[in-house]
Amino acid sequence: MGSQAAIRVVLGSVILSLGLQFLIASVLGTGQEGTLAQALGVYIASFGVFIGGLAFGFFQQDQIRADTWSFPWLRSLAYALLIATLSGGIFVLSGPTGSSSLLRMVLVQNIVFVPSLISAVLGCLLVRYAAQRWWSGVCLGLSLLVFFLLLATWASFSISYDPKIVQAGIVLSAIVAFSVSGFVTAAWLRRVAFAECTMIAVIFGLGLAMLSSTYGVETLKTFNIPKEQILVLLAVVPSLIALCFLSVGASIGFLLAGSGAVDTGFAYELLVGRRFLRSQFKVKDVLMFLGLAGIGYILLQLVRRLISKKTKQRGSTKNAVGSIMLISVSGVALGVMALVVVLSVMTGFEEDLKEKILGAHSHIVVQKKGDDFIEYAEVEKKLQSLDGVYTVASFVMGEGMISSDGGLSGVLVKGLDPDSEAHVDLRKNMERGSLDYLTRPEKIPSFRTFWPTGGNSNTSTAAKLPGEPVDSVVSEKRRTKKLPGVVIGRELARTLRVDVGSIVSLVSPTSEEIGPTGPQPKLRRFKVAGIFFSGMYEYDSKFAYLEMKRAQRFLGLRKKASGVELRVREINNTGMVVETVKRKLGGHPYGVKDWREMNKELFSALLLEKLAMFIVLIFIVLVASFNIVSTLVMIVLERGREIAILKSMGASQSSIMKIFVVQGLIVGVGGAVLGLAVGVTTCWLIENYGLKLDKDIFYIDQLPVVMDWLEITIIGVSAIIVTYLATIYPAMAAAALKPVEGLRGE
Amino acid sequence: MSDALIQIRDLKKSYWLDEREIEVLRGLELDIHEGERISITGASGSGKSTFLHVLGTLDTPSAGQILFKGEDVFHYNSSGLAAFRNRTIGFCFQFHHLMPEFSALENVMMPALIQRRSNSEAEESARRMLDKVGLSHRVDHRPGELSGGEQQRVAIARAVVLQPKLLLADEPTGNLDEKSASGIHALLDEMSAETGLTIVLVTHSSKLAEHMPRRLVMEQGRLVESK
Repeated sequence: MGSQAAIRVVLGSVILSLGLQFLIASVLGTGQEGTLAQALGVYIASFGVFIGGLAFGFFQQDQIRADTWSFPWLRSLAYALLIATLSGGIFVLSGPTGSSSLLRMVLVQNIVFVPSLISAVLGCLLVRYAAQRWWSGVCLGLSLLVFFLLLATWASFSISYDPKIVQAGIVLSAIVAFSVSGFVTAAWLRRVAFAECTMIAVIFGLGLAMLSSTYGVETLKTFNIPKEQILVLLAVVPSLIALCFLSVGASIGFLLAGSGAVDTGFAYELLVGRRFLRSQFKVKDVLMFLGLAGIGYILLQLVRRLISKKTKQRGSTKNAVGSIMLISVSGVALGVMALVVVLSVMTGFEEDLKEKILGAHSHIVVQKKGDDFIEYAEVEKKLQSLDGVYTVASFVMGEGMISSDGGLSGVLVKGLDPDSEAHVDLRKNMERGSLDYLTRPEKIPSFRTFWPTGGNSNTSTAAKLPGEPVDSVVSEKRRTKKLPGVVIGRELARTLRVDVGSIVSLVSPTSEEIGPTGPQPKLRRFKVAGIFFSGMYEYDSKFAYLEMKRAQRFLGLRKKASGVELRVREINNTGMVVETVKRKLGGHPYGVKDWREMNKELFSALLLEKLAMFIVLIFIVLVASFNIVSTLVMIVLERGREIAILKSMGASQSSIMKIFVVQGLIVGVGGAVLGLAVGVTTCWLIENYGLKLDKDIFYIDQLPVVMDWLEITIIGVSAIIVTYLATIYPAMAAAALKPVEGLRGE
Repeated sequence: MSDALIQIRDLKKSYWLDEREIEVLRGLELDIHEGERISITGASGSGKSTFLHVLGTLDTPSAGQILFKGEDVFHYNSSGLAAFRNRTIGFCFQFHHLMPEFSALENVMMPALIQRRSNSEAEESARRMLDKVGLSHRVDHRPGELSGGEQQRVAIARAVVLQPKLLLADEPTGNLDEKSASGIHALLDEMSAETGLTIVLVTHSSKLAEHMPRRLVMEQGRLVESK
């Protein structure tokens, strides 16, 4: 009778709230864009849904028994989903039609979904824990969360002013805050408190979305996505992350303190858990896998087991459980291995890119607004003494065109002081010629004599050809002796078909020279003093270096600099130096940027790619963890009798839970460790024995691999967290088994 | 108030089966004194086992109270109940319910391990108890390698290893031959005499029932003294 009444009430409230929403949205919603009235309509309707959810929970009474762990999760979700879908659909049908109606439907769904889920959960909670402390649990958890988050933010800001460290600090402490709040809530309520955690997470997500919609408008605008979508993302993603860590904390809290006193022992649980996993899977085996680059070994074991008909005393299902466990282990291991290898290769590419960018550019650039940077020498002097700064050098930069007999190309002309320590990397990158020729152009060897003769020590045959008398070369030499030098990249040299000693012409479009027809471009002849190769196509084809004074003259920037370049001792710590430079120079007319900021798009694209890759690959682990769930559920079903016996001997719920969490963790940790080992070994092999790449395509001759230990730790930890989360449901199911049910049915 | 160890007051238990309520225990009343040995007989399905499970707090009653030393045990929460079972009750089932992956010794050690006693302490008391039931030579055998009688001895050893106040036995000799069965009876007698253990035993066998000083019969969901 109860469930029928519940259906009736729920349906009634759904229809009521939808009708309300329909009415308000269609009567008041006039504009093309979502107006205040529409939003109001949605919110009022959501309120109706909210009441419906409460009623839903109330009429689920017969489904919710306080003595068991059952909670109508699926129904609550289905309820919320149903209402969100229906209302979204009706909204689209009824509301003002626009091009973005589909998008709007999604939005409405999201907006309605969350309140309906909250209300459904709230309703169920109200009924289930009417006499218990659920409300105070939620309050406790939320206030703890807020407290810890504020504390963490404050602490992160006071530790450092490097934005990266602050960000990392906040993220890390948010994770700690979630876990601790979950832990305390569960320990206090003496149950896993999933429902409470969901409430806390959802409220947290909504709060965050609301806060950022109020205070973070400027930041939101910088994204190129509609604000609403970001808000929905902000409500959903942090909620999920929060829920994840709250559940981890809560389950650990229940495991350790669920019986009212802190009980950290798990010796016998480990013993029982391992026996349940069935011997096939011993610690010794795990160690052996590690020694033998394991996945192959596991497969071998599997095949052997499938072929072998010997079951000894073990039942066949138990063997199956063992095999499935092995499959789970290798699934987790495979995912972790893929993550390690792929991310290491991506880091490798990134590091390679970084190295090349830094090889061609400085670490920090100070620029001044306007084009009157005359006092660059003083600025240089000021910065020279700063902590962490290695070298300081000023430069000028401008656009131009370069041409030779063989070709034509646009270039960035950069003037620098070749003697400065600041250009060590450029000096290192020189393939032919020398950076020193910029100041002493008379030393540049002439084009013909420079060419290596390829082992032939005689004068080249070309020189002896008739029609090219030697003295003409000599006179040409004399004429060009005074020409200043220019250093260009390998790709540019290839385009222009020039080599060291060749004559090229540089054209500056911005010049003060006035010809008969008005301002006319300035054309100067230069001699190629050297060719560099940085490994970045963009640099090798775009840059032309001149001596500072000559560049100033050529670009029409007499006595002015475009900026001052700094090199620091630690390239990963530029944030600190940027701050000190900013303080030293006192801000305004000067802008300070480090290499990360200058190449922001590139590195943020790389980071995004990496994140996407991580998410895709963690799905492998996720799938493997579902394998763990199903195996553990099988074990729980199979071991109902033993669970009952253990309970009759006085094992508490948290104790039984520990047994199954331990089993899941053996698989998860085993798989993670195995995957890490195999992944790191693979990376090591690639690093040391190399994997050749086509240099013409990749501009790099072998697959770069850089193992970032922080990344590897994150991979390992997240794999273990995912598998740990996978154990919670089966473990709770085991703990909730009634002893009588296990003992009956013989 | 009587000074009984356990007072059972108006105990009711019913199941729901397809919207139909099946009353198993209908207002059962019983006082059990310390050191008593009680047998309960009755027709199949009369609720003997259900009663035993409720008495052992493995199942919750629909109504009524079980007072242990004057305290209502169902007021404890689940972990409190678990601790109560661990300390005060020993179970011994018809199908012995040993854990097949564990040796006899490990099976007997289990209750002490659950109580978080140290491994060596648990092993010592388990060895002593196995010695007492005459199985000191088979401690490392798994249940599958023991005979039915031996298995039941291990189960009894496990039930009493923590010196509980109350031993609940459900057909402990149900599937044993006569010789093994009488061995088990003798063992139970001995235990009771030695430690003043209170025993409640559910059985079909009238022979075993006669062995017990106090005999009860389950009738209509209530317990009556047998003549």
